[in-house]
Amino acid sequence: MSTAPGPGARGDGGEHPRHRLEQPLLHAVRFSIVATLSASEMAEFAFVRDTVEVSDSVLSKQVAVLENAGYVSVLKGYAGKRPRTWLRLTPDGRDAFARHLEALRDIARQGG
Amino acid sequence: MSEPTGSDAARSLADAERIATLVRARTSQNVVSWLAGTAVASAFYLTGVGAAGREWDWIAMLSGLLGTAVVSVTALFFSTDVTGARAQLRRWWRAVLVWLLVLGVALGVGLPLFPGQLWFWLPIAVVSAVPLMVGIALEVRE
Repeated sequence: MSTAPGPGARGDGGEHPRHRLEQPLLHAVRFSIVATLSASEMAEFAFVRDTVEVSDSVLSKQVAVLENAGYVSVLKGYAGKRPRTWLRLTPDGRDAFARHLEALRDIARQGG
Repeated sequence: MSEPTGSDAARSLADAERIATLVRARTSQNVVSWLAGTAVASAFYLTGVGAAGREWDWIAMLSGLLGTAVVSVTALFFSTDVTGARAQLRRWWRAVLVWLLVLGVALGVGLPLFPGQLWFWLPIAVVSAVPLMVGIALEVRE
C-alpha cells in the first residue's frame, strides 16, 4: 500500500521517494513492530512488546492495524496450559517493509 | 502524519538496524546453544558407542538418550519466544543435515567393522562435532 504521487512529485519524470513510503509504516510503533518481525520468522507477543517497549494495549491496537493492512498475521495457541500469541510478517508485509526501507534510504541520501 | 525529512529517515533506518541486531542476537544465542549442546552430546555418544563394543543393550540405551535429548532440546528451541529469520533457520538445518549424515556414516561403518576399537571411535566422535562447530562459526560470523 503506497501513498499516491501527490503535488510534490517531481516534474522530471522521477518521483520523490516519499511517495514510495508505506503509509501504515509511517507510525513509529508500527515501524518498530515490523522491524522486529522482519528479523525473525515468528515472535511471541510479549517478545515484540518488550522489544518495541510499549504496553500490551498499544501493541494490540497497532498489530490490529497491521493485520488489517495485510502486513502481519496473528496466530494463537498454547504452550502447555498457557495461552500464547505469535506474530509473523506476511510476504506482503515483508515486501512492503523492504520498499519502505528503500524509500527511507533514498530520502536520507537526498537529505529530505 | 508528517512525512520524514532526511534526518528522520536516517533515524528510522538506524532504529530498524538496532532492532534487527537485537533480535538476531537473541535468535543466534538459541541457535548457537542448540548446536554447541548437540556437538558435545554427539561426541560423548560416539565415544560411548565405541566403548560399548558389542554390548547392543548399551548402544540402544545411549541412542535412546541421545535421541531424547536432541528431540527435547529441539522442542525447546522452537518454543522460545522468537524464532530466527528464514536464512538463519536454513543455516541451522544445513548443519543438522550434515551432522546426521556424518553420524549415520560413523555408525554404519563403525558398528560392523570397528566395534570396541577406540582408535576409530575417538577421532570420529570429534569429527561428528565438526559440522555443528562450523554451524556455530557461520552463525557467529553472521
